[in-house]
Amino acid sequence: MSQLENKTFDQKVTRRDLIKLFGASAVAASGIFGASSQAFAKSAAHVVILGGGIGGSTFAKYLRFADADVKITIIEQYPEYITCLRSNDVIAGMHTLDELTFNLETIKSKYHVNVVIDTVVGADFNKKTVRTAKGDNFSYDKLVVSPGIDFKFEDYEGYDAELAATDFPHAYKAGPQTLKLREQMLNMRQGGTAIIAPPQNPFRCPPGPYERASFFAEYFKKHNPTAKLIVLDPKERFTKDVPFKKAWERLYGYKSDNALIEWVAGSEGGRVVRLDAATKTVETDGGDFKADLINIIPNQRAGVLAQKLGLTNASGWCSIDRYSMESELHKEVYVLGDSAIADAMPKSGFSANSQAKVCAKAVADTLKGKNLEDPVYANVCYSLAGENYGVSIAAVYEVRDGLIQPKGESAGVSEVTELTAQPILESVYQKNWQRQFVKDVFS
Amino acid sequence: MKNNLLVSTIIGLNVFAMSQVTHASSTEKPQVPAWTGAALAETISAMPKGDIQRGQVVAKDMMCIACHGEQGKPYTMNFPSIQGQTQEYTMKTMIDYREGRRWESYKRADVMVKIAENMTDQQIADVSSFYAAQTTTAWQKPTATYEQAKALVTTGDMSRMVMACAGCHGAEGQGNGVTPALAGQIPQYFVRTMQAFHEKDRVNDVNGMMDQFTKGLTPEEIQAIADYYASLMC
Repeated sequence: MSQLENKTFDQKVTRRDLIKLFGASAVAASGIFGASSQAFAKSAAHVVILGGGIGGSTFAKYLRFADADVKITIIEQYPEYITCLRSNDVIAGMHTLDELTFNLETIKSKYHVNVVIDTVVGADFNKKTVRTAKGDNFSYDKLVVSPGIDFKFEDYEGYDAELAATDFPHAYKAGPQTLKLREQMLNMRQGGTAIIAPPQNPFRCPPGPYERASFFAEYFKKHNPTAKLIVLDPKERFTKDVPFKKAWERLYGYKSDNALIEWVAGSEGGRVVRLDAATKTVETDGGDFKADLINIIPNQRAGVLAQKLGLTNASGWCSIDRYSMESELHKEVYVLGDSAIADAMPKSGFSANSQAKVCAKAVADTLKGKNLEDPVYANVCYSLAGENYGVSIAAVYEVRDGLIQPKGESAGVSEVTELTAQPILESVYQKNWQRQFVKDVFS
Repeated sequence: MKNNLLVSTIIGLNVFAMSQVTHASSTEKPQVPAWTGAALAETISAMPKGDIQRGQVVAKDMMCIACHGEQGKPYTMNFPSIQGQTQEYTMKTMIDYREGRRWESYKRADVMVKIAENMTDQQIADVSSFYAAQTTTAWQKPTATYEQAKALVTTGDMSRMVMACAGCHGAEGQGNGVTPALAGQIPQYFVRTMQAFHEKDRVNDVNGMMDQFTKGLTPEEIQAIADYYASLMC
């Protein structure tokens, strides 16, 4: 490895750092790594995190930066985590799932976080305990929940989780379904029709379905030029639609006679209401569409755990205090990422990461009896409209009038220009961003 | 993963092999044969003639100016100066990026690789002639190590097998054909480049000459030479 590489996140924790963190006797008792709960002072507060994805992992790391003494435990269902972000690249063959797979080993050893691979089955908010499937109980002072999303299959007659796991993958949580969808795209007959049906707002990764549509079109352009992709959308607009549609015009003949991609808005009958799996037909408000490949990305709500723990409101999502991400329904319980209602912030990995940092500071300050500061949140979403064609959206957010809103004139979407290099550069920035982002989250 | 050109050829030949092939990702260096002097000379002489006016349009369209400045002098120390660079060297550099021969493992090359992949030979020749037509200006004033560096640059140190830089790069650092001009170069870029040669992160020169001829230099000497060239103009 070159000396020139940025080593900020690769620093080894020395024995002296540890002693500073936990005190000499604790280090002597526990060894350098794998600090167990006994290594912490008896009086140390215990913060328990449910979910070791982007929100949970970032939170653990940044809470450690903010407080050397606090006990931190992450309870995560799976030993490995596949990032949803850039998983469209797997469909297009630009990434492997392995390249998007992370675990919590570094978070555990470098930041002295207790990592438990187990499933949470319940919590008692009065006694402040969490119970797992293996029968363990964890007492907490603060509980942080970052459970991702759940799908509303009931919005589509004839579609369910079982079909999604077999012939009709939604591929909106990265994993086997992602590979299945890739396989279906590669094997679609020449001149066939594919359908992508994006969800209603709000949903995870707002540009995700349109990036995926772009990759389908790019693949068809190269390998199946008489095929067609139809995007059946329940909405009238979508994020970055101006630069996306311009890219589709430039690259895939959008709106021309031999367009590889067609987009149907909700008002034109784009909303899918039913799937007939046997005949591979979807029914929309505007009529039936038969296809060779159907990718319904279902409507969404807060993750199952958030629902089970009673953290969701009537909207199906979790309302939070905008200054701390603390649940408005249960004190000392915090909700991060896609499950949280964060107003103008999109449900993105970047948002979850930003919210985790704000929340880590708020939790650390609260534990120290300090007042909360005004938070600053940020989000950037890079998407590809083709392998070498990037579009982005960015904003810095503040709390104003009780809502999380873009600060000043910070919000913006890629300008459409005639400069050849602009989308090329954005595609490079996207790759660079992803590389650094996962380091920030998992190492 | 694999050489971009190779991959696109395979895809072009056999549509159904797609599932076996993945797109080139920018994580691994492609295997490209090193230059021989003859192959490099042949490649450069086969390039089309450049046009300065068209080159100025290319510099804008490909957004070279965003990092390298309007005349090739960057706005910050992060990017190399290409103001007054020889046309041959800029063409060679772009070809090296396009073919993946220049692909420093520390990722600084990603932007240039993608830009170069999207440029034709004509555009490369044009933009290179545009930058060659600009006058080189100094980046900084001479420093205290100027004379020490000048001695090394002009006579080298044969006791350590350090060759005189000026022998190839010119008495005024003006460059010569595919040998780049160094006058006015950003010192941070110069130091980074020397490290890259020594660590074999950069291997796009002929016969690994840059590593061989400069191996004996200390980091202090490299810094002194960087400052020396940064203070030259031509």
